[in-house]
Amino acid sequence: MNAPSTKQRLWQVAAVVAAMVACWVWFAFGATYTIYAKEQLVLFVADWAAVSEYLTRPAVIASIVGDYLTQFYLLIGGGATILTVVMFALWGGCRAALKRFGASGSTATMWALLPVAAEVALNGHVEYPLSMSLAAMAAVWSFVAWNKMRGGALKYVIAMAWSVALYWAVGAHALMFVLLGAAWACKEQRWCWGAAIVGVGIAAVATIGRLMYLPVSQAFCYPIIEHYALQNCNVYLLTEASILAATILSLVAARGRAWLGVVASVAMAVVGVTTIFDRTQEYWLGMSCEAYFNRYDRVLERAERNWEHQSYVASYYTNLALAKRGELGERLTEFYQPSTYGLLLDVDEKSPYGYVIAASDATMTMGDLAEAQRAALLAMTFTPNQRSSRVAKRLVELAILLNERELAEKYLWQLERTALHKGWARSHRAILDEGSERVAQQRQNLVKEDGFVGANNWYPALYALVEANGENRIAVDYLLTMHLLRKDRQRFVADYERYFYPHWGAHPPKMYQQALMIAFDNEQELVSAIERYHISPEVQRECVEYSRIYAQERGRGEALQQRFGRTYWFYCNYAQMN
Amino acid sequence: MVWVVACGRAPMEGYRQRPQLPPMFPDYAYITIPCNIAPLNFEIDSVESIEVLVKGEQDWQFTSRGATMRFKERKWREMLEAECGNELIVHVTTRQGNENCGWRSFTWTVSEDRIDNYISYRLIEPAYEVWNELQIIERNVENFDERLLGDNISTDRSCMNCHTSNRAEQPATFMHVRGKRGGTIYSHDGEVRKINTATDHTSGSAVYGEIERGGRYGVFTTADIVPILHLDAHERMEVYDRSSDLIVIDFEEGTVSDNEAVSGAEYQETFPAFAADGRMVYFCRAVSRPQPDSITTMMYSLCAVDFEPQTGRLGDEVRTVIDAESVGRSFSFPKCSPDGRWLMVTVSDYGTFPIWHSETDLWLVDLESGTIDTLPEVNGRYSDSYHSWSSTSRWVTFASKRDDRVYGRAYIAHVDSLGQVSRPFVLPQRDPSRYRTTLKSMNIPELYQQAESYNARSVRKIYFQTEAEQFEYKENQ
Repeated sequence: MNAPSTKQRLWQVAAVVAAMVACWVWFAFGATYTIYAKEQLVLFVADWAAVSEYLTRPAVIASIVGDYLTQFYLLIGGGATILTVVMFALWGGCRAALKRFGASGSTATMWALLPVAAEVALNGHVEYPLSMSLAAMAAVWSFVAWNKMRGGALKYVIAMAWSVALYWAVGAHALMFVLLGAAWACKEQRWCWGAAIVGVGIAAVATIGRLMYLPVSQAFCYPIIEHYALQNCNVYLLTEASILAATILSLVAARGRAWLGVVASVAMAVVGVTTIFDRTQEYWLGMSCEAYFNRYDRVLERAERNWEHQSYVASYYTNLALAKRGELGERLTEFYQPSTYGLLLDVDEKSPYGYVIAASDATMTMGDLAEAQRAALLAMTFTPNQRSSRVAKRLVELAILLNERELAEKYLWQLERTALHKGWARSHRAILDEGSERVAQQRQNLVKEDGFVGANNWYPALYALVEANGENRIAVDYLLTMHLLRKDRQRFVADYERYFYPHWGAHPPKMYQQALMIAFDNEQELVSAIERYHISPEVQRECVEYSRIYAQERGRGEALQQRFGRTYWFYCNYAQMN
Repeated sequence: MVWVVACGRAPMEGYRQRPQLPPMFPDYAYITIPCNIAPLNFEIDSVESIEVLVKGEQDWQFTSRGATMRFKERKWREMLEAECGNELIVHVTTRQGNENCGWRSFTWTVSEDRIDNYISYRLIEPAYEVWNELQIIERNVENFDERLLGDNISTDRSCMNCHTSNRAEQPATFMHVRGKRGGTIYSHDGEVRKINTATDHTSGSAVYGEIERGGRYGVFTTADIVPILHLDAHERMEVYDRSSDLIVIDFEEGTVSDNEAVSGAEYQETFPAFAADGRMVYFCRAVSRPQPDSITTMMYSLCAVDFEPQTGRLGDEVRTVIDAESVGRSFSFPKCSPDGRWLMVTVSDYGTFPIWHSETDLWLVDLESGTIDTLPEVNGRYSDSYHSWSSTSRWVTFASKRDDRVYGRAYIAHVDSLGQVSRPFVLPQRDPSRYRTTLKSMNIPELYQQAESYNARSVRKIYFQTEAEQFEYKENQ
């Protein structure tokens, strides 16, 4: 085989560099919020008691290192950089492995990108942990190291022993080592040893899983956690399939045609990413993360695209951002509104944890700490690893507001032992010790009188809030918009009169004006309402025009949509209530 | 002030004496401990080393580098054996930077009363009547060995609860495993069975309960429970029973029976427990009222009904032992001491779910004189509930949320022959920071002498491979 020319070498280097740059760019700018969300699903407490918990499950080392490094996903570009470094190391291992099988340097260089492309695609899912990629890297480098050993039977015995240890250390991707080892045995025509390696590798997973009380299906995909959003946890086998395919194709089908490896890798990346990566989720995770970072202006920037990626949680964050700016009554129907489901999130143990994590944001803002607390504890319980830095911070905030010092200290103690949340923890410990004006203000919104209410039963909680503090504008807006989205005009008028009008009646928001215009059947009442509620001439004119077109077109919505599609009248007439 | 120790390794010298107790976590000052308890490891934040000098008949010196005092288990055992029945004075000194601190001394009273070797408890997220991953743990209290009796990740994530032993020489135990293939896991004489206790005549499966010392009969609650939230976030959640009755299960004959005196719509009956002689069942009862509207007026009295140990029949006459209205508290979870002298009960302001009620306390009733001790030295600021007696009647364990209001931990207290209950202490851990890192509550702690005959693997096998025995309803005759 001819040695590659300098130009060919340059092209190869350029291809690998381009692949790594693409990887970084993808994670930094394409899957930005998925990466941030991964950090929120981890709470790595650097304390022996917490770390020793990892010993009760397989993938001990990969999980510890993976969760530790995942903390740095919080930094701008942190996730992209860590993943790119891991992918580069994985590529290096795959290349070395392919070369051990006899592929030429240039062929190995290009085909080694194929399993990397698979891992990149898999990392586009919020529940695919970094520990899996570290495991893949460890498995392939283990094969390379093992393969350099001399000896016959002993070498294969070592492979079997190592496959057991590797599963304990890195989890499911130990299978990569097993498959590569078996492939090597086949190449050497030691069929029995190949079968033995596979047999021992599979038995190791089942046995260790059993010893650690994992169901077999969970043992074969650990540290991916079953029964969450990742529908098929065995999807990680894509990487195993890729390395095997790369091994075979680099030797047989594409000898001397290294560029085919690039084509296959690009195809794998494109197909993998489009299949595994959820754009709608990335969109609403963006809103959720920006809300978490307290950048509600960015939430509103994204809100316009909610018509494209409709979801309850995107509407929820849009409404929360509007409410924080005092614009909920002004702009409510400018955005996609799935009835009241996008106003406050109904969550229980069966809800997606992304929604459950989000659910406490609005209730906390309003002062409904009972629901916020319930949602936060649900979120901590039902995230895949039952630990979340974001939820821990929420629980601290709740405990501070409720003046539950010891509880706040428990979570602060944990956050103080993380890599990047310790500053936040210190500042909140200071608030716990010295108090703050903001906390004092928020406490004014808390419910004063106790009562009982079913979970997700919003009206009693909203009424309790507005009764507790009549100047809690956000709670009043949520109550009124709840009526509007339910098309309950009678209750809207009653509560507008009781809770909104006395404080802010001089400047009624547009949506409320529109609702008031259609709230009265009697003309006399309407006339006096227009005067009492300061309904603007513009709204009056538009209402007349809307009614005229509606009558003229006999209720045909298309004629109204262009001009009035974002008015409350249009919502009232045409939004479907489920 | 400089204090020099006369024997043992050279202690820290030249330290500054402080008037405060050492800021230990957990707080193990001034407690009575069993002579067979595991080392009381503790932490003192931000110190570089800790030295403990225990003065009894002999001096015992322990040192530890870092902020965690881990007593050497062998030496600890030697100390407890040698000092059994003595009051020990404990001096703690710490080193931080160049400064050595001596803290105010405190005492440990080493009781001659041994505590039962095992304690079981459930680890569950404190998430408002829902769960994800939960485990039933059996812990050897003499050391730090733990064993899983149940892990719901291996049983379809179904609920598991109430691992309870009758503490007999040939113990009978039960544990409920819910889910599609669940049942009550009943263990007696080395045999482990899975039982479906729900019948057409009773409202659902068995919940809270106890097995009499012979192991043949068990008395249980069947209840239809409903969780609900408080608007005031401090109070968190409430749970009420739509209906609740008592049933008797005959594990030998495979029958479930009830009695009109303790079932029906007029009253709600719950938390049954056998008297020590097995001839009476204590339970809690309230007049049924519309709920949740009347939830704060649901006051459960402590009641009793006769039980015939030969036939397993409940008597027809219910006696009120303590009327809830008369003391203004609602009772739950009565448990008789095995010697028949005491009855410990949980009290709260109203209702039947004390675990989230911060005012929940334990009371001790003297069954000979009828006097009540409200145990002010024992009860913490927040919920203390779900207690269990040791087989010697000299120790109780209970779930307490005193440390942070939300996460329950198993506390242990000594009860002497006069009913004096000592200051409780939390179950020691090899690494005390486990209490800080865990996000799970320990609940329903249960003391018993003999290790359980099954483990989580056998429970998984039973769950998936054994059909539940269907018990039949039997008319009460």
